[in-house]
Amino acid sequence: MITRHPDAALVPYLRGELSDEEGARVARHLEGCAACRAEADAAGAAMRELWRRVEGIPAPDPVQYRAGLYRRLEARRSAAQRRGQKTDEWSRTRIVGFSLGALAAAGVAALILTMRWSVHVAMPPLDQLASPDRIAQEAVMSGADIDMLRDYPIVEHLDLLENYDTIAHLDDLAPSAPASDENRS
Amino acid sequence: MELSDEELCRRIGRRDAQAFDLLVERYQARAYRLACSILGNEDDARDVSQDAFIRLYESAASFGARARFSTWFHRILVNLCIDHRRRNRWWRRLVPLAPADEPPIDPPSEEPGPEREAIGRQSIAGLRRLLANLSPKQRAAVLLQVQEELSSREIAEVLQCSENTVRVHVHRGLAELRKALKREQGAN
Repeated sequence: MITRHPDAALVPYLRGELSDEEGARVARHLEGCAACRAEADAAGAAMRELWRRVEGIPAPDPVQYRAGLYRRLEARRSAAQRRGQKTDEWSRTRIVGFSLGALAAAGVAALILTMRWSVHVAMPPLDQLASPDRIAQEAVMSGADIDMLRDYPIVEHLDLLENYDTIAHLDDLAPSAPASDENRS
Repeated sequence: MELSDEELCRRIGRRDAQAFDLLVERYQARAYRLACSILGNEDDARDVSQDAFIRLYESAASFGARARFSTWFHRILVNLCIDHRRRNRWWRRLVPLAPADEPPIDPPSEEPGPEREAIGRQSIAGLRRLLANLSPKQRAAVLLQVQEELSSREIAEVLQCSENTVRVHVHRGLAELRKALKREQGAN
Protein backbone atom coordinates (compact mmCIF):
# COMPACT_ATOMS: atom_id res chain seq x y z
CA MET A 1 0.00 0.00 0.00
CA ILE A 2 1.45 3.37 -1.04
CA THR A 3 1.04 5.84 1.77
CA ARG A 4 2.07 8.85 -0.36
CA HIS A 5 0.10 9.81 -3.47
CA PRO A 6 2.01 8.69 -6.56
CA ASP A 7 1.56 12.10 -8.26
CA ALA A 8 4.46 12.01 -10.72
CA ALA A 9 3.90 8.32 -11.48
CA LEU A 10 0.24 8.74 -12.53
CA VAL A 11 0.87 9.76 -16.15
CA PRO A 12 3.57 7.10 -16.68
CA TYR A 13 1.09 4.61 -15.20
CA LEU A 14 -1.65 5.70 -17.62
CA ARG A 15 0.83 5.36 -20.49
CA GLY A 16 1.93 1.92 -19.33
CA GLU A 17 5.54 2.97 -18.79
CA LEU A 18 5.99 1.67 -15.25
CA SER A 19 7.57 -1.63 -14.32
CA ASP A 20 5.17 -4.44 -13.35
CA GLU A 21 5.97 -3.97 -9.68
CA GLU A 22 5.58 -0.18 -9.68
CA GLY A 23 2.48 -0.38 -11.90
CA ALA A 24 0.84 -2.86 -9.53
CA ARG A 25 1.57 -0.58 -6.58
CA VAL A 26 0.03 2.46 -8.32
CA ALA A 27 -3.00 0.36 -9.35
CA ARG A 28 -3.52 -0.76 -5.74
CA HIS A 29 -3.24 2.85 -4.58
CA LEU A 30 -5.76 4.03 -7.17
CA GLU A 31 -8.25 1.40 -6.04
CA GLY A 32 -8.29 2.91 -2.59
CA CYS A 33 -7.74 6.62 -3.37
CA ALA A 34 -10.56 8.57 -5.00
CA ALA A 35 -8.47 11.77 -5.06
CA CYS A 36 -5.76 10.12 -7.17
CA ARG A 37 -8.36 8.61 -9.52
CA ALA A 38 -9.79 12.08 -10.05
CA GLU A 39 -6.25 13.43 -10.52
CA ALA A 40 -5.49 10.79 -13.16
CA ASP A 41 -8.74 11.54 -15.01
CA ALA A 42 -8.06 15.29 -14.93
CA ALA A 43 -4.49 14.81 -16.17
CA GLY A 44 -5.77 12.66 -19.05
CA ALA A 45 -8.39 15.27 -19.95
CA ALA A 46 -5.83 18.09 -19.88
CA MET A 47 -3.52 16.13 -22.15
CA ARG A 48 -6.32 15.44 -24.63
CA GLU A 49 -7.27 19.11 -24.67
CA LEU A 50 -3.66 20.16 -25.23
CA TRP A 51 -3.29 17.66 -28.06
CA ARG A 52 -6.50 18.98 -29.69
CA ARG A 53 -5.23 22.56 -29.53
CA VAL A 54 -1.74 21.79 -30.81
CA GLU A 55 -3.21 19.86 -33.72
CA GLY A 56 -5.44 22.86 -34.34
CA ILE A 57 -2.45 25.03 -35.21
CA PRO A 58 -2.54 25.32 -38.99
CA ALA A 59 0.61 23.83 -40.47
CA PRO A 60 2.52 26.16 -42.79
CA ASP A 61 2.11 25.69 -46.51
CA PRO A 62 4.47 22.77 -47.20
CA VAL A 63 5.70 24.09 -50.56
CA GLN A 64 6.43 27.57 -49.23
CA TYR A 65 7.94 26.17 -46.07
CA ARG A 66 10.36 23.98 -48.00
CA ALA A 67 11.17 26.72 -50.48
CA GLY A 68 12.10 28.98 -47.57
CA LEU A 69 14.14 26.21 -45.97
CA TYR A 70 16.12 25.55 -49.17
CA ARG A 71 16.75 29.25 -49.67
CA ARG A 72 18.18 29.48 -46.17
CA LEU A 73 20.23 26.34 -46.67
CA GLU A 74 21.63 27.76 -49.91
CA ALA A 75 22.39 31.10 -48.24
CA ARG A 76 24.27 29.27 -45.51
CA ARG A 77 26.23 27.25 -48.05
CA SER A 78 27.24 30.38 -49.94
CA ALA A 79 28.19 32.15 -46.72
CA ALA A 80 30.26 29.12 -45.67
CA GLN A 81 31.99 29.10 -49.06
CA ARG A 82 32.79 32.79 -48.75
CA ARG A 83 34.11 32.20 -45.26
CA GLY A 84 36.09 29.22 -46.59
CA GLN A 85 37.72 31.40 -49.27
CA LYS A 86 38.60 34.03 -46.69
CA THR A 87 39.93 31.31 -44.41
CA ASP A 88 42.07 29.93 -47.26
CA GLU A 89 43.68 33.31 -47.92
CA TRP A 90 44.21 33.82 -44.22
CA SER A 91 45.68 30.31 -43.87
CA ARG A 92 48.11 30.90 -46.76
CA THR A 93 49.35 34.14 -45.16
CA ARG A 94 49.73 32.42 -41.84
CA ILE A 95 51.56 29.41 -43.31
CA VAL A 96 54.12 31.66 -45.05
CA GLY A 97 54.55 33.72 -41.86
CA PHE A 98 54.97 30.64 -39.70
CA SER A 99 57.47 29.09 -42.12
CA LEU A 100 59.64 32.22 -42.16
CA GLY A 101 59.48 32.48 -38.38
CA ALA A 102 60.38 28.81 -37.94
CA LEU A 103 63.32 29.16 -40.33
CA ALA A 104 64.67 32.18 -38.45
CA ALA A 105 64.24 30.43 -35.09
CA ALA A 106 66.03 27.31 -36.40
CA GLY A 107 68.94 29.47 -37.65
CA VAL A 108 69.36 31.21 -34.29
CA ALA A 109 69.18 27.88 -32.44
CA ALA A 110 71.83 26.35 -34.71
CA LEU A 111 74.13 29.35 -34.17
CA ILE A 112 73.80 29.11 -30.37
CA LEU A 113 74.46 25.35 -30.40
CA THR A 114 77.56 25.76 -32.58
CA MET A 115 78.95 28.45 -30.29
CA ARG A 116 78.34 26.39 -27.16
CA TRP A 117 79.97 23.31 -28.71
CA SER A 118 83.08 25.22 -29.73
CA VAL A 119 83.41 26.57 -26.17
CA HIS A 120 83.24 23.03 -24.76
CA VAL A 121 85.78 21.37 -27.04
CA ALA A 122 88.38 24.19 -27.18
CA MET A 123 91.58 23.43 -25.17
CA PRO A 124 92.32 25.95 -22.45
CA PRO A 125 95.44 28.01 -23.01
CA LEU A 126 98.64 26.75 -21.33
CA ASP A 127 98.97 29.70 -18.99
CA GLN A 128 95.51 28.85 -17.60
CA LEU A 129 96.67 25.28 -16.81
CA ALA A 130 99.22 26.58 -14.32
CA SER A 131 97.24 29.49 -13.01
CA PRO A 132 98.11 30.94 -9.58
CA ASP A 133 94.80 29.58 -8.25
CA ARG A 134 95.64 26.09 -9.30
CA ILE A 135 99.11 26.26 -7.63
CA ALA A 136 97.59 27.53 -4.38
CA GLN A 137 95.11 24.66 -4.40
CA GLU A 138 97.90 22.13 -4.80
CA ALA A 139 99.84 23.71 -1.97
CA VAL A 140 96.87 23.30 0.37
CA MET A 141 96.55 19.65 -0.59
CA SER A 142 100.29 18.96 -0.01
CA GLY A 143 100.03 20.73 3.32
CA ALA A 144 97.32 18.32 4.36
CA ASP A 145 99.61 15.43 3.41
CA ILE A 146 102.44 16.92 5.46
CA ASP A 147 100.11 17.31 8.43
CA MET A 148 99.54 13.58 8.31
CA LEU A 149 103.24 13.03 8.92
CA ARG A 150 102.92 14.72 12.28
CA ASP A 151 100.63 11.87 13.33
CA TYR A 152 103.00 9.30 11.96
CA PRO A 153 102.68 6.88 14.96
CA ILE A 154 98.97 6.53 14.22
CA VAL A 155 99.65 5.96 10.55
CA GLU A 156 102.28 3.40 11.41
CA HIS A 157 99.88 1.64 13.74
CA LEU A 158 97.31 1.57 10.94
CA ASP A 159 99.94 0.01 8.69
CA LEU A 160 100.38 -2.67 11.25
CA LEU A 161 96.80 -3.68 10.77
CA GLU A 162 97.72 -4.80 7.33
CA ASN A 163 100.15 -7.28 8.74
CA TYR A 164 98.26 -10.56 8.75
CA ASP A 165 100.06 -11.84 11.84
CA THR A 166 99.00 -8.76 13.72
CA ILE A 167 95.46 -9.13 12.53
CA ALA A 168 95.42 -12.75 13.62
CA HIS A 169 96.61 -11.75 17.12
CA LEU A 170 94.62 -8.57 17.56
CA ASP A 171 93.29 -9.85 20.89
CA ASP A 172 96.85 -10.28 22.17
CA LEU A 173 97.71 -6.63 21.66
CA ALA A 174 97.98 -4.95 25.02
CA PRO A 175 95.34 -2.24 25.17
CA SER A 176 97.32 -0.09 27.56
CA ALA A 177 100.75 -0.49 26.04
CA PRO A 178 101.32 2.41 23.71
CA ALA A 179 104.44 2.08 21.73
CA SER A 180 107.13 4.53 22.79
CA ASP A 181 108.60 6.89 20.30
CA GLU A 182 112.02 5.52 21.05
CA ASN A 183 111.07 1.98 20.11
CA ARG A 184 109.59 3.11 16.83
CA SER A 185 112.42 5.21 15.73
CA MET B 1 8.98 -0.21 -49.41
CA GLU B 2 9.02 2.95 -47.30
CA LEU B 3 12.43 3.89 -45.98
CA SER B 4 12.77 4.39 -42.22
CA ASP B 5 13.63 7.81 -40.78
CA GLU B 6 16.98 6.42 -39.66
CA GLU B 7 17.84 5.18 -43.15
CA LEU B 8 16.85 8.53 -44.67
CA CYS B 9 19.04 10.31 -42.13
CA ARG B 10 22.00 8.11 -43.03
CA ARG B 11 21.43 8.96 -46.70
CA ILE B 12 21.33 12.66 -45.86
CA GLY B 13 24.72 12.12 -44.22
CA ARG B 14 25.91 11.06 -47.69
CA ARG B 15 24.33 14.27 -49.07
CA ASP B 16 21.29 12.64 -50.65
CA ALA B 17 19.04 15.63 -51.42
CA GLN B 18 16.01 13.44 -52.14
CA ALA B 19 16.26 11.78 -48.72
CA PHE B 20 16.42 15.22 -47.09
CA ASP B 21 13.32 16.34 -49.00
CA LEU B 22 11.45 13.24 -47.89
CA LEU B 23 12.40 13.62 -44.23
CA VAL B 24 11.46 17.32 -44.26
CA GLU B 25 8.09 16.38 -45.74
CA ARG B 26 7.53 13.83 -42.98
CA TYR B 27 8.47 16.11 -40.12
CA GLN B 28 7.80 19.70 -41.17
CA ALA B 29 4.25 20.05 -39.76
CA ARG B 30 5.12 18.30 -36.50
CA ALA B 31 8.32 20.27 -36.06
CA TYR B 32 6.54 23.54 -36.77
CA ARG B 33 3.68 22.78 -34.35
CA LEU B 34 6.02 21.71 -31.59
CA ALA B 35 8.14 24.84 -32.05
CA CYS B 36 4.98 26.94 -32.17
CA SER B 37 3.71 25.41 -28.91
CA ILE B 38 7.01 26.03 -27.13
CA LEU B 39 7.67 29.49 -28.58
CA GLY B 40 4.11 30.76 -28.96
CA ASN B 41 4.93 32.64 -32.15
CA GLU B 42 4.40 31.59 -35.78
CA ASP B 43 7.39 33.38 -37.32
CA ASP B 44 9.78 32.18 -34.64
CA ALA B 45 8.36 28.66 -34.96
CA ARG B 46 8.94 28.65 -38.71
CA ASP B 47 12.48 29.99 -38.39
CA VAL B 48 13.49 27.71 -35.52
CA SER B 49 11.98 24.58 -37.07
CA GLN B 50 13.79 25.39 -40.33
CA ASP B 51 16.97 25.89 -38.31
CA ALA B 52 16.46 22.40 -36.92
CA PHE B 53 16.27 20.97 -40.45
CA ILE B 54 19.39 22.88 -41.44
CA ARG B 55 21.20 21.43 -38.42
CA LEU B 56 19.88 18.02 -39.38
CA TYR B 57 21.27 18.42 -42.90
CA GLU B 58 24.63 19.63 -41.66
CA SER B 59 25.13 17.03 -38.94
CA ALA B 60 23.34 13.98 -40.37
CA ALA B 61 26.70 12.28 -40.87
CA SER B 62 27.18 12.26 -37.09
CA PHE B 63 23.79 10.61 -36.47
CA GLY B 64 24.44 7.52 -34.33
CA ALA B 65 23.10 4.29 -35.76
CA ARG B 66 21.76 3.19 -32.39
CA ALA B 67 19.73 6.34 -31.73
CA ARG B 68 16.13 6.75 -32.84
CA PHE B 69 15.86 9.48 -35.43
CA SER B 70 12.84 11.17 -33.82
CA THR B 71 14.62 11.40 -30.44
CA TRP B 72 17.74 12.81 -32.08
CA PHE B 73 15.81 15.33 -34.19
CA HIS B 74 13.59 16.43 -31.30
CA ARG B 75 16.67 17.04 -29.21
CA ILE B 76 17.96 19.42 -31.89
CA LEU B 77 14.58 21.14 -32.22
CA VAL B 78 13.80 21.48 -28.51
CA ASN B 79 17.30 22.75 -27.74
CA LEU B 80 16.95 25.35 -30.48
CA CYS B 81 13.55 26.42 -29.10
CA ILE B 82 14.85 26.72 -25.54
CA ASP B 83 17.91 28.55 -26.82
CA HIS B 84 15.75 30.89 -28.88
CA ARG B 85 13.61 31.77 -25.86
CA ARG B 86 16.76 32.41 -23.84
CA ARG B 87 18.25 34.63 -26.54
CA ASN B 88 15.08 36.58 -27.05
CA ARG B 89 14.39 37.75 -23.55
CA TRP B 90 13.03 41.29 -23.66
CA TRP B 91 16.22 42.89 -22.40
CA ARG B 92 18.30 41.13 -25.03
CA ARG B 93 16.18 42.55 -27.81
CA LEU B 94 17.60 45.96 -26.94
CA VAL B 95 21.06 44.91 -28.15
CA PRO B 96 21.59 43.62 -31.72
CA LEU B 97 22.86 40.04 -31.56
CA ALA B 98 24.41 39.64 -35.00
CA PRO B 99 27.18 41.88 -36.33
CA ALA B 100 25.79 44.45 -38.75
CA ASP B 101 28.12 43.45 -41.60
CA GLU B 102 27.03 39.80 -41.60
CA PRO B 103 24.73 38.95 -44.55
CA PRO B 104 21.13 38.29 -43.53
CA ILE B 105 20.51 34.55 -43.74
CA ASP B 106 16.75 34.67 -43.19
CA PRO B 107 14.74 35.81 -46.17
CA PRO B 108 11.48 37.66 -45.47
CA SER B 109 8.78 35.27 -44.28
CA GLU B 110 6.23 33.91 -46.71
CA GLU B 111 2.89 35.62 -46.30
CA PRO B 112 -0.05 33.26 -45.78
CA GLY B 113 -3.59 34.25 -46.73
CA PRO B 114 -5.39 36.63 -44.31
CA GLU B 115 -8.04 34.09 -43.24
CA ARG B 116 -5.54 31.37 -42.57
CA GLU B 117 -3.36 33.84 -40.78
CA ALA B 118 -6.21 34.91 -38.50
CA ILE B 119 -7.07 31.32 -37.55
CA GLY B 120 -3.44 30.55 -36.91
CA ARG B 121 -2.94 33.63 -34.80
CA GLN B 122 -6.01 32.85 -32.73
CA SER B 123 -5.01 29.23 -32.07
CA ILE B 124 -1.49 30.16 -31.18
CA ALA B 125 -2.59 32.97 -28.88
CA GLY B 126 -4.90 30.54 -27.06
CA LEU B 127 -2.15 27.99 -26.73
CA ARG B 128 0.29 30.63 -25.53
CA ARG B 129 -2.14 31.65 -22.75
CA LEU B 130 -2.59 28.03 -21.81
CA LEU B 131 1.12 27.32 -21.55
CA ALA B 132 2.17 30.72 -20.20
CA ASN B 133 3.01 29.50 -16.71
CA LEU B 134 4.99 26.45 -17.76
CA SER B 135 8.78 26.63 -17.85
CA PRO B 136 10.36 25.86 -21.26
CA LYS B 137 11.40 22.39 -20.07
CA GLN B 138 7.94 21.68 -18.65
CA ARG B 139 6.43 22.75 -21.96
CA ALA B 140 8.82 20.60 -23.92
CA ALA B 141 8.25 17.57 -21.66
CA VAL B 142 4.46 17.87 -21.79
CA LEU B 143 4.34 18.54 -25.54
CA LEU B 144 6.74 15.74 -26.42
CA GLN B 145 4.58 13.39 -24.39
CA VAL B 146 1.24 14.64 -25.68
CA GLN B 147 1.99 15.54 -29.26
CA GLU B 148 4.92 13.34 -30.17
CA GLU B 149 3.94 10.49 -27.84
CA LEU B 150 7.51 10.02 -26.70
CA SER B 151 8.07 7.90 -23.60
CA SER B 152 9.54 9.40 -20.44
CA ARG B 153 12.84 7.71 -21.27
CA GLU B 154 12.93 9.26 -24.75
CA ILE B 155 12.02 12.69 -23.37
CA ALA B 156 14.82 12.28 -20.83
CA GLU B 157 17.19 11.70 -23.76
CA VAL B 158 15.88 14.78 -25.56
CA LEU B 159 16.09 17.04 -22.51
CA GLN B 160 19.25 15.33 -21.26
CA CYS B 161 17.96 14.77 -17.76
CA SER B 162 16.80 11.79 -15.70
CA GLU B 163 13.52 9.98 -16.24
CA ASN B 164 12.35 11.04 -12.78
CA THR B 165 12.99 14.69 -13.67
CA VAL B 166 10.86 14.22 -16.78
CA ARG B 167 8.03 12.77 -14.68
CA VAL B 168 8.20 15.77 -12.35
CA HIS B 169 8.26 18.19 -15.33
CA VAL B 170 5.21 16.49 -16.82
CA HIS B 171 3.36 16.37 -13.50
CA ARG B 172 3.97 20.04 -12.69
CA GLY B 173 3.37 21.11 -16.27
CA LEU B 174 0.02 19.34 -16.37
CA ALA B 175 -0.94 20.88 -13.01
CA GLU B 176 -0.28 24.36 -14.47
CA LEU B 177 -2.13 23.44 -17.64
CA ARG B 178 -5.18 22.36 -15.64
CA LYS B 179 -5.14 25.62 -13.70
CA ALA B 180 -5.01 27.55 -16.98
CA LEU B 181 -7.90 25.51 -18.42
CA LYS B 182 -9.94 26.22 -15.28
CA ARG B 183 -9.18 29.94 -15.55
CA GLU B 184 -10.24 29.86 -19.18
CA GLN B 185 -13.52 28.10 -18.35
CA GLY B 186 -14.15 30.60 -15.55
CA ALA B 187 -13.59 33.50 -17.94
CA ASN B 188 -15.99 32.02 -20.49
